[in-house]
Amino acid sequence: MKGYKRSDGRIGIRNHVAVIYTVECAHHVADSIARSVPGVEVLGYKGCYSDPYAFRMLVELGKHPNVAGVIIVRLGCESTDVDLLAERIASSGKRVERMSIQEIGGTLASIQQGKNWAEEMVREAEQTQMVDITAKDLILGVECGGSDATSGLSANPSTGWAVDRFIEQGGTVIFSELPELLGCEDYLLERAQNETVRNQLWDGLQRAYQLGHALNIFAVSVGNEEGGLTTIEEKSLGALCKAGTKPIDGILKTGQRPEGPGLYLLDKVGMLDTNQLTIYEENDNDGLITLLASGAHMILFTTGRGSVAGSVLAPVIKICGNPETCKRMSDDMDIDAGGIILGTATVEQVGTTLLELIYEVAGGQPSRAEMLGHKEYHIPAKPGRACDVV
Amino acid sequence: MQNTRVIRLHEKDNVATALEDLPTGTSISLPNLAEPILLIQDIKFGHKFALSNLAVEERVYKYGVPIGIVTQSIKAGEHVHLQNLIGMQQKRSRG
Repeated sequence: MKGYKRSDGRIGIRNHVAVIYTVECAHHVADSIARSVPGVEVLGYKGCYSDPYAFRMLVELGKHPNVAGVIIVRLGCESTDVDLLAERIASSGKRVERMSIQEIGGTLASIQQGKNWAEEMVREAEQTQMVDITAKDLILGVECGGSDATSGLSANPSTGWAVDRFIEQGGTVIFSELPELLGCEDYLLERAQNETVRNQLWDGLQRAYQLGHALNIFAVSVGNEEGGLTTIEEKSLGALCKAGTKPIDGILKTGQRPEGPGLYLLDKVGMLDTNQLTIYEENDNDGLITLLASGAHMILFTTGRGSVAGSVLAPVIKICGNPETCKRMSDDMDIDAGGIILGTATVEQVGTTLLELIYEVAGGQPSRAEMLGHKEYHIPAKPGRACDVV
Repeated sequence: MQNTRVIRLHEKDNVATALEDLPTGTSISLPNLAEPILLIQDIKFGHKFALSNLAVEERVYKYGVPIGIVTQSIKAGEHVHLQNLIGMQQKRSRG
């Protein structure tokens, strides 16, 4: 298994050139550049007003090791500090080019300039040194979406099994969705590696509790009860088990990366302001972007009802636990965990298949979402101090 | 035997979950279980049943972790749900 060695020492498993737009007005030019050169992907932030959270995401996505070089496209009058953005990304040692559509002289000239840079950068990316890599070089993000009554029985336990083995092999795993873990606080706190982690975890749980309380969400619904879930502890454990059973080695805030191997919890729950409810996660792609921004090379995504989510810069592996959905949406699913429900496979068997696939995809094999062309991203503004660490 | 679709997610668990609708009288055999259990109620897909007799105040384990406390004594093979199990948090908040 080989990866791309970046100048800052980080290892990538993909070799994209990224075009980043800094306001919606520049989106079309950025898109046109990316569409005309294979190997170039587009992402960006739509707002004209700068947002600390979105800015942090753009910096970390630009620095992401799956990215070889970056072209920043601005309109010219948006408030986001594009010079600072370019400077922060360039601190990773990779090539960063930037253009202002207003200065360059409009759409056609900007697209032409962008295409020239993009072609050069793709050629340069092909020269990137490739090195042997192991689990120790890899960070996985774990997320779920479109869950159903099978999730806690098939997709999540088998993913958790693979996560445990991956960590034993020296790898790093990040999980998130803290508000969905309310109910298993005691168990989570027991798993904290040390007192610092325990205190940070407790602090995050308090904020998550306030958020859940204020929004009146994150409880056992009537539908959950009909499906057989009795308590909030049980429901939360069904979600948590996709992150395995290892001790929690650290708590990350939005945009922070793990400092060593092991299991990390990404706490992106902001403070509840008096006037504004902190937005926790607008959709699954919002969740994937925050995992990428914390350094995840690849995402393990569990589902029951079915998700098609992919990601602009990282492979997403879909693990589906509902046998009906596995059949109906077979082209989207990398791992069929439905056999656990049908009694034809065990958690260990599905977990073993997933672990093998993780290494194959890390080595370059495209995941289903990649093959199908899924390149989603979602970077909203997040007021309410959702990014305290900036 | 192995044809009956149930899952016990951890060896510490004192409940298992039905992976299909199971009628009363179904015999359940699981590894690490001394003898088969007979279901004394219909158990629907996704619902839990007890693997042993459980007394009031005993903890129910799933995923090897407590998910709640028994409120009415439960017999082996009986449906475990809202009528006989309460979450620790919910119990605490009720005082």
